[in-house]
Amino acid sequence: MDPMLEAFIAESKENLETASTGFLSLESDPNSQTLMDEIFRAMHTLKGSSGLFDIRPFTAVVHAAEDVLDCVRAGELELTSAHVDLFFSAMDQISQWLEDLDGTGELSPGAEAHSERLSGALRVLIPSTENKPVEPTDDKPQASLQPPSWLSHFSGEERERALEIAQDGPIIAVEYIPNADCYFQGEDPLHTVRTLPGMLAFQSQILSAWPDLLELDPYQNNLKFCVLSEADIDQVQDYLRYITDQVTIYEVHAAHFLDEGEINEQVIRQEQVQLEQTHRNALLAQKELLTLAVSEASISSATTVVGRVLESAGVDTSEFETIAEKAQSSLQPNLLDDYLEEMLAPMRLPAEPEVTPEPKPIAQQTPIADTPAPTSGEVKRNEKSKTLKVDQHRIDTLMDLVGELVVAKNALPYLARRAQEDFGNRTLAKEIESQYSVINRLSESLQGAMMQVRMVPMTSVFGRFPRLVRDLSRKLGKDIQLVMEGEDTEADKNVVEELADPLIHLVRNSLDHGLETPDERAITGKPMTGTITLRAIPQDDQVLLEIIDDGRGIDPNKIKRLALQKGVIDQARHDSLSDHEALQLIFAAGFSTAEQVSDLSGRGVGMDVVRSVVEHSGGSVQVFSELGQGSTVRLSLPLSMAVNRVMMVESAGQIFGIPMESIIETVRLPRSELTRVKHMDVAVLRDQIIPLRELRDLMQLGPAEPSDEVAVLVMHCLGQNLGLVIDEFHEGVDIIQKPLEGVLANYPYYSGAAMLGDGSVLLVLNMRELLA
Amino acid sequence: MIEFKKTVAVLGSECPIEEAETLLAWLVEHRAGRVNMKALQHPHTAVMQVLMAAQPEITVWPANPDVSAWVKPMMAQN
Repeated sequence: MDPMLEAFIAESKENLETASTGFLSLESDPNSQTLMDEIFRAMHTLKGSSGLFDIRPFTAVVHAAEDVLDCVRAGELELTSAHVDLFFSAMDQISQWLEDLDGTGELSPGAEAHSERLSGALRVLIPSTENKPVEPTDDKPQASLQPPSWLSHFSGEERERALEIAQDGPIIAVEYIPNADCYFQGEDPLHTVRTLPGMLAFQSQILSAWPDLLELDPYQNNLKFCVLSEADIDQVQDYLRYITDQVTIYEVHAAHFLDEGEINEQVIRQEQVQLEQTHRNALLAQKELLTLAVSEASISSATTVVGRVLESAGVDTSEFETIAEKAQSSLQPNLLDDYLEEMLAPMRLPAEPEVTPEPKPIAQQTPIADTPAPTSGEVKRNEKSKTLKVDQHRIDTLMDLVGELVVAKNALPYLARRAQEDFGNRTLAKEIESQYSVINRLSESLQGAMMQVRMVPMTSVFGRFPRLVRDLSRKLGKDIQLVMEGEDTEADKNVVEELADPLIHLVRNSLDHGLETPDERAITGKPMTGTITLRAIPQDDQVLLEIIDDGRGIDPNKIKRLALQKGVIDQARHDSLSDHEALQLIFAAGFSTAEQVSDLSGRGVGMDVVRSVVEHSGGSVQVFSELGQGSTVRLSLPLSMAVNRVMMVESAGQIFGIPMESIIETVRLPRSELTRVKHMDVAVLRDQIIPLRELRDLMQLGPAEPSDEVAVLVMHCLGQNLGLVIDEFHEGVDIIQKPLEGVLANYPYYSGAAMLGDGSVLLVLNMRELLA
Repeated sequence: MIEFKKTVAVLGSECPIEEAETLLAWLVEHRAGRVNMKALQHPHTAVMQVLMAAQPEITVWPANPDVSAWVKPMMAQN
């Protein structure tokens, strides 16, 4: 596929995500300008980059959405839930189109019709009568007639030159405020400005004060440009036609520089300032004189001078005269002194000819409580600049190579053994072994680093739930609040991806069956709003995921009864089941407790599918519940699936691998200690009865030779402990397990195979299938 | 290409957008780092933004007077 299109799809998905989270947060914080801006930016970028491709229906919809958002931002339109619904359906369509683009490189056939319907529906929201045309980008920017105030910011030299040219006809002034994200659309404002036709002079201004360097996002525009040009207005308009929305064009006449223009005013102001400076100096001199003055004459002369100075400075002298009289008559020069002090004070300001500096935003001074907490989107954007995006295939290739390195490394111990046994060279064997330990250490760190690369935070799965919960709660007429905890918990990408579907199912289940309607909740005295909590907790090499609701809970007796009715369990099991065990029955195949089948869940498939998916990823699932208080479903999953540790066991001369996580202990028992109960051998280990199964029987490998001692692998499987009798234990190894292909793929007893260091193939047993 | 010496960053004639990030990182690391603009002709806006925000000491202004003429006022903006 076109790499540009590929990048566009990835970026657009991200933008959709941002917009979608933005809308959701907006519902709880409807007045947040930051959120609104974020959504708008996302939509704007979508529109901008979609223009690069021939996907007009797509562009039309995002453009309409952007226009509506612009109205909202300008305060012309207030967003309601109905509006948000419309945006969501537009965004769903957009993401569908993105999928189409990803698959076929073009939009689906009905796109035009969808686009018209959606953009029509969106545009209706725009309050003004003149609905903006769909493609205003073709329009050239129009010239505005009032001269801009910033003409005076240009240096005298520049303005003189402009004035000279303006004598023969108006010149063009352009105010260009590039979009904050314009760099991402390949714009270089500085270049645009410098290459503007007929550019005479340009100036830049900062839009907001620079943050600390650590906070600075160099790819967020913070500049505004003011440009003077001697080219024809047509030329300038044509040149700027792609950024119409970011520029204002002015026609400036010579008169603007002369009459109302700033040049004269500037000269006058400079003169004034100079005058003020002179006055000030004169007054200061008199003040100094006064401090020394003792005689009436000297006071009188000083007052005369001060009076004149004040008069020429245009200050009302009446007040001064009364004070002067008083000072003269009482011979108190300090009265005059005080007055002068007061007069000079306001003049003490630096008499710079420059106008007052632009007010800078005082973001730091805003009370913390008022500043919105940075949304996840913002944080992400900052992180993005430090993140490297890599195609997953490359990571997988790298992972495979690391795997092969691990396997190749495993050949060294064999080599060492051969050096010693076949060639009798002990020194060489030792050396190979020491080299092996170095390579082993390195490859282990490499493997660890590789695992880190594949780790992704749960956010990618959790991110879709706010929307899901919102939609479903509205559909079901329930008032539900979603709490998410530990979204930052990381796990292997594959695990996280595999998890998405079961999680959705579990959340749906809780929403549908677990949580009550507001009325029911009111009767039982619970808060009207139900809460559903999604929590991810890292625990050793596992990650625990909990879906907790405070709904009606599950009645174990009802489950037992239903399970018996449906033939999932027999009467004996029914009587012996503990409550906790009974609850786990909801994961049994063909089990549904919903009294009323809805279109969301409860079709009798589901929970068993959840279990099989989770178990396929090497995890487990459990449910806890208290009647009337709510229920918790807990998934525990391995952090990583890439490398498995298995124990090698031997039976009838064949080596098999058994996943280490299911093994509890290995014991050797004298055959005399085994007892036979009914048709099965059992062993008693620390007062616990362990049923025994022979691997030879299970695999039909033929009977074992009689021996006094049996090797037993105690393992936890299918909810109980049992012992597997084998011929011999071997060491544990790290393997990269590959699924079986071809003929062997039909044997569910094997979960996969791996290559060993000596080049032989190790078959890994699927104990669950084998023992079922 | 920006050439980073011990305390001075020597800018090339073109400073493409990608260099904004490298330059920013360097200036963050070297708060007292200085910048040599001698060869500078076409810096990207993003690079200028970094320079404007960081306000490093400029050891050499652009040799091209036309470039100097607008770089100086831009750098004076603060």
